[in-house]
Amino acid sequence: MAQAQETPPPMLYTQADRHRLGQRIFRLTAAGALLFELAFVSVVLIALIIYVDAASFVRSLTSPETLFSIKLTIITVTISTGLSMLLAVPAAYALSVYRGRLSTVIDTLLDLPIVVPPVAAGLALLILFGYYLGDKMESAGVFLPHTQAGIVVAQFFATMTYSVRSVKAALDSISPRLPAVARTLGSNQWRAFRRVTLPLARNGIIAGTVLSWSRCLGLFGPVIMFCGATRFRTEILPTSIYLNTSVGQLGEAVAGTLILLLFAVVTLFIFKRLGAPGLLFWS
Amino acid sequence: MLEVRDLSIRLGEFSVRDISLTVEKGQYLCLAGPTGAGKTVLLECIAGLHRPDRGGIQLRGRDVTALPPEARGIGYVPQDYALFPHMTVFENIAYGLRERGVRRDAVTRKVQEAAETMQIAYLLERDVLHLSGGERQRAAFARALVLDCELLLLDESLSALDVVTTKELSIQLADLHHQLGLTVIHVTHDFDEAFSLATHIGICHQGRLLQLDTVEEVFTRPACRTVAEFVGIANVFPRPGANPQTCPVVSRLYQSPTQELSGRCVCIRPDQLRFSRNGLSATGLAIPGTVRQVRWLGPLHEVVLDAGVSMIATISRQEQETLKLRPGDSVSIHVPDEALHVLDDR
Repeated sequence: MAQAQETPPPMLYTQADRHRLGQRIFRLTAAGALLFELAFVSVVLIALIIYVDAASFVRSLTSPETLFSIKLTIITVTISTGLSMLLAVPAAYALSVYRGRLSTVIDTLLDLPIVVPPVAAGLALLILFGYYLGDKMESAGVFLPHTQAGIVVAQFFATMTYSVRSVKAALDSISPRLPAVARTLGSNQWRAFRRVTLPLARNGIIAGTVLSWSRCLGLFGPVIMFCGATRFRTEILPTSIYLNTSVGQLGEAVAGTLILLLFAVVTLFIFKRLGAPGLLFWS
Repeated sequence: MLEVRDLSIRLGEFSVRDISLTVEKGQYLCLAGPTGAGKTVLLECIAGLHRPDRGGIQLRGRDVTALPPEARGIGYVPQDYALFPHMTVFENIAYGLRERGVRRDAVTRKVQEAAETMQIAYLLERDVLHLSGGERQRAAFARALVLDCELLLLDESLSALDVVTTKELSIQLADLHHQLGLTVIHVTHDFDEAFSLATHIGICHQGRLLQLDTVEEVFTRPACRTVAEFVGIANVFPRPGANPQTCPVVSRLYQSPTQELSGRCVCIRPDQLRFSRNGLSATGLAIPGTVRQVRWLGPLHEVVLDAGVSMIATISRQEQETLKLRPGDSVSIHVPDEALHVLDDR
């Protein structure tokens, strides 16, 4: 006698259920990580903001020392970013267009300022411009260690690689046929660069400027090693935060930090606005 | 108009060796050949984008080998058209005129004329990023033509377009060549494109120019096996003895009484083979064979034959309607004397 065929027990979860569950866990993991990072940044910033009351913030902000450091920071950061970008465009062009046997070595050397520890970079600058070249430069009327000009040099050293990398990435994405065709249409090499290559690298140049500016703004290690932390002399905003914290003036230190934050946000906002089509010089 | 003498250059993986050619005013020269043959490098040397390692280039009797591209006055349209993406169509076309210091009102007038010639006047204010492939190509042509260059270099300029647009632009290009009396050097890997446009064809292979002649000459009398194969002559047979596996049919080709077949290869143009079912031949050779395949190619039929060696013939639709060839049919393949051509085996 044939046995009656057994019906399989009803499944608790179908394959579609498992698929949906897998998708949900995946989304939750990704969103959870994002939310955690967002929350961490927010909490840290909120802790900083609620530490000072409005009155002491305004008092700290308008103190002669803070005003000096704000002014010095803006001046040095502007000069070093300008210098950095001025050299970054031709340097990045050379790196992008002229390829030779030494390209990899040059590429690696240029990346060194990114990986060298900031304190070590400051020490290296001090040894070069103090120990080796100090006397010679001083007799020529220029002395960099522990001076405001030294701050610009330290900021320039720490930031130039970022500028070059940003501009090079933009130049690499431009087809070499574009300036080549411009040449056949009558442009010499300079004109083809000015009218074709440079406008097309605009976004990279903006990104390089933002990066350089932001990095210079918060630069501390190389500056303190090379230029020290002398009040009303080499006191930029990061140095001011350090000096105030070391003597227990946390209110002033937090005020300085908030100003740096404000600068960073405003800088990002301004450059993002300028980066929109039609708002920058070459559009 | 243009004379290239013993030009050699090596650029990474690409090289061009000892190329000499002359292009007369009004000629339309197509440089054809497989990918990597060095056609583009040669064209870019003529445009002035690379300095040759050896050899020279003369333009209108003047040595331009050392001149930069901007001093040569040669129009150039690359494969990707290289329209400036940060400019409108108008600005792209006006670019060369402005670089030459042409007055603003003259720039506007000339750009308008060039755009009308290329039928893109309605696109002048458009951003080039929003153009179709055909529109881009027309804009690139207008940009080159607006400068009234006597010599125009085109690098695979029709190859990235769909069939209909290619056909349309190819007709327009031929019209422009006649109307403006342009001298054109056009690099292509598409032999049909070369045939439809060119007055002369140069066949490049592995950095060398194998043959440069009129279209008719290249097609009827290819200089060597590579050229024959590139122009679509599938029936190329090595001389008996050179290859021990050569079948008796090929040996019979070499015994043709009316031709001095002293070369190393013989080729038979597929369109010159004739068939009959009764084995009679008025002139030339008659070889027995079997039809293996009959393939429809639009207005033509391609007949793949087995005659000891594989042979290919093309016949018109009318011929096929008369012969009604089917796979497996036994036929006599007639090889007229004028269909045989001896060439170098290289």
